[in-house]
Amino acid sequence: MKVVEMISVRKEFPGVVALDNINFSLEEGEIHGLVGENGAGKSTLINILAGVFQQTSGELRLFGKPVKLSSPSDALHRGIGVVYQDTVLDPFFTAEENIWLGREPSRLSVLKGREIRSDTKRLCDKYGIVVPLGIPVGTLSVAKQKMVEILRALSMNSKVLVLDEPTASITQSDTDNLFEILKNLKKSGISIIFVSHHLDEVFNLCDRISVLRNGCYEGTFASSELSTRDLIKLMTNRDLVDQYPKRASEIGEEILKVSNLNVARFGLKDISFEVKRGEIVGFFGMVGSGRTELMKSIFGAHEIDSGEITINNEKIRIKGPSKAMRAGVYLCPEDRRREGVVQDMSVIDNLTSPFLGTLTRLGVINSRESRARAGKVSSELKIKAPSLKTIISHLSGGNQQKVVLGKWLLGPESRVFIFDEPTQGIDVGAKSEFYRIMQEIAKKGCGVLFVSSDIRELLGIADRIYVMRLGRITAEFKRGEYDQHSILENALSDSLAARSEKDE
Amino acid sequence: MNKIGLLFQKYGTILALIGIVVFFSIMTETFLTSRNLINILSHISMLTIIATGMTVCMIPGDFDMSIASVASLSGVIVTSLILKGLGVFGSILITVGMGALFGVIAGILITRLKISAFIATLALGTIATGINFMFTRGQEVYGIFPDSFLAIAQKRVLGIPVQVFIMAVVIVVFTFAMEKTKMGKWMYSIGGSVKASFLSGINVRLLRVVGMIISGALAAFTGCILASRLGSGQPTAGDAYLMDAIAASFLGMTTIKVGRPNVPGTFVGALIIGVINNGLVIMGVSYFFQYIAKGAIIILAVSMTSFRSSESF
Repeated sequence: MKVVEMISVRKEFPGVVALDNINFSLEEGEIHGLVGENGAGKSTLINILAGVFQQTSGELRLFGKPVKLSSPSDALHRGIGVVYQDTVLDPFFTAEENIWLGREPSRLSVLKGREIRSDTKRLCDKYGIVVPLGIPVGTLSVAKQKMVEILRALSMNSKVLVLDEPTASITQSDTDNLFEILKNLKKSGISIIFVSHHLDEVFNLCDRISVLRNGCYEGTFASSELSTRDLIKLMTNRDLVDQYPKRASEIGEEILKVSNLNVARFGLKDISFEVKRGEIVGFFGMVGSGRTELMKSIFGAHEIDSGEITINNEKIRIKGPSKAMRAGVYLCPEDRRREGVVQDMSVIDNLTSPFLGTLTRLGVINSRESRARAGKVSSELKIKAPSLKTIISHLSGGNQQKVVLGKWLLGPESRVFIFDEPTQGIDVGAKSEFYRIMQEIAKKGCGVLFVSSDIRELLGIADRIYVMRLGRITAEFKRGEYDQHSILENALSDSLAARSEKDE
Repeated sequence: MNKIGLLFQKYGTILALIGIVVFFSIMTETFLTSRNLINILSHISMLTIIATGMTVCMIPGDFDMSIASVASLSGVIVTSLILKGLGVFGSILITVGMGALFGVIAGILITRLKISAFIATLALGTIATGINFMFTRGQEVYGIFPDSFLAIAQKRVLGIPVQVFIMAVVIVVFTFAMEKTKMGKWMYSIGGSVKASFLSGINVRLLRVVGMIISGALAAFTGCILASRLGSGQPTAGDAYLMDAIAASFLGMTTIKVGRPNVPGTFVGALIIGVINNGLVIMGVSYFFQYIAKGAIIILAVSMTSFRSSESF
């Protein structure tokens, strides 16, 4: 039986057609992957199912009956539970309060606290999902918060569960755990729509896959009939022969050296490594291995307890990011939306903000110079924006990431670039473009530090890979001696290393 | 943070209050007498009521800069209505309704016209002041008031002024409404995450308007009590309450429910302000130094508890 059916669905926003002629159907008890590049219309489709948007034309059928969903709570009452990409929980509320938010059991409007707790326990038992109760969800890990959102989505006996990029910011073991839960839900007859950029996950988990491209429906395929390459071609309409561009790297003298760095409060212990000019050095490790904290410490965003940082053979005491910038060290942070850009400022304001001092005369901003410099960087990086004055939150993830990088390119002299998960949440085409950009930066004689959870992209473009676990560097691999198994082994704890071999 | 640290963060402000009380008890002979303590409660009852309104509208994330002007306007309206021959109860009801109307207008400006709460209520407060002076020409409203009106702030039951009981009722009712009912839970949820609330089917706009209505109504009610205490309608009687109400609400955010506006916390905040005022007067400190001391103690109390272990910039 088709639990959800979309027939010729079209959605227009002022001036844009976001979805056109979508014919999508979800069978009972299947896990259905929904893929497409950023901007392909996945979120719009989900928002129509969630009752956030209403389609402009076309028909939406639930369990065979045509419906029009008027609001998110309407959709939830009709059995559609949605877990959005960005966490939408009240961080101060407990898990049980968040799950029943808007539908709390009460009498004469007075809350029944005991019932809320017992209902939550029953819900957890029913689906075999464990979350800590009684403490604010803001203190839980991202993975646990996802579980709370899944429980909320299921709390109305939902028959359809929609997950938008649920694995974007959780670790591999949490992802495995999530997949177990989803497979169990499927067995109990729940139909699942699963949106992800990680094509391996989609193939691994889903029975069928639907592809969207530029707001159009490209078809639905059984995942057993499709290869990764076919899928990428359907998504991008171009053959990505090699996602990872090759290059002849000219590696020069040492540009950055870190020795015996310790930051006790983040568990960073005895970190020593070096980066040479023209080199792309990968950092692999699970979330929580201390990668991000290490990068922030080098950039001066975290104070270090002890250790030496040498840049261009000059010992430097980095106190704060402004000192790091003066030394030519630049960080593109992991949390692009919050730490990389200022969301409600324009492209040009974001690009020029770090080095605004070089664009002023007597404290007054030289706007012609700003436009010229920002425009140059924007066209070099091929930032796709209607204009430099476009507010940055309107841009796709990939283009926002280019702005994060672009603001450093306006700087006087660059020596070391740190990229922390630069390709997370951006689409396949943009990823490939970003690899090329990183290689060009290295080619100019800068040192590049590239942090990633995606081992294949590191194997693809890094000249050397350091592996981190629990705040230490556990191994170093040179190109040519790359071995996916031992890299994973060094990144995971010993007990998990065995499992990673099984995954291969 | 360790357990003691957490406890300190939660109850540090109350500890500070106790510290201030001990200080004044040692420094003066008359501070720690039942008469004086009742006096303090009586003094802060109006502040607590008006600050409770402010706290309630802050819970879903709004703010009300018009409370003092609305309280002043209410004082002259309620006295005028009573002198016109309307009953005491009816006059207060109409006045509180007027305050609620200000809240409705503020709420519509905020949720429909998307004006920031700060600006919208600043403008409405200015309008309230204008109406006030248009009406009174700056003159006080005086005459013979019925005893039942004057009793609100002047009569004592069991040796305790009636307004202290009124304050207690307001604290209990609004603490219960905010902590134990759906409405309160949803208002907190809006303050925590508008998006999560909206996606949970909560009527965000309505509840933000409700917050402003409660704030306006309690401001007007405070104006009525103030008029009863003064025995006349003074056009500027409520003006001094704005800053103290803001201070009490922000002090309140440092305790009980740390980081979020909460009614019992606001009462603690009002107590701190009341105790400081009273103690400094008893010590004979000149009034201009009282302001400096009050400001300094508020900074101290808040900084003691509001430190966060996370990022510092």
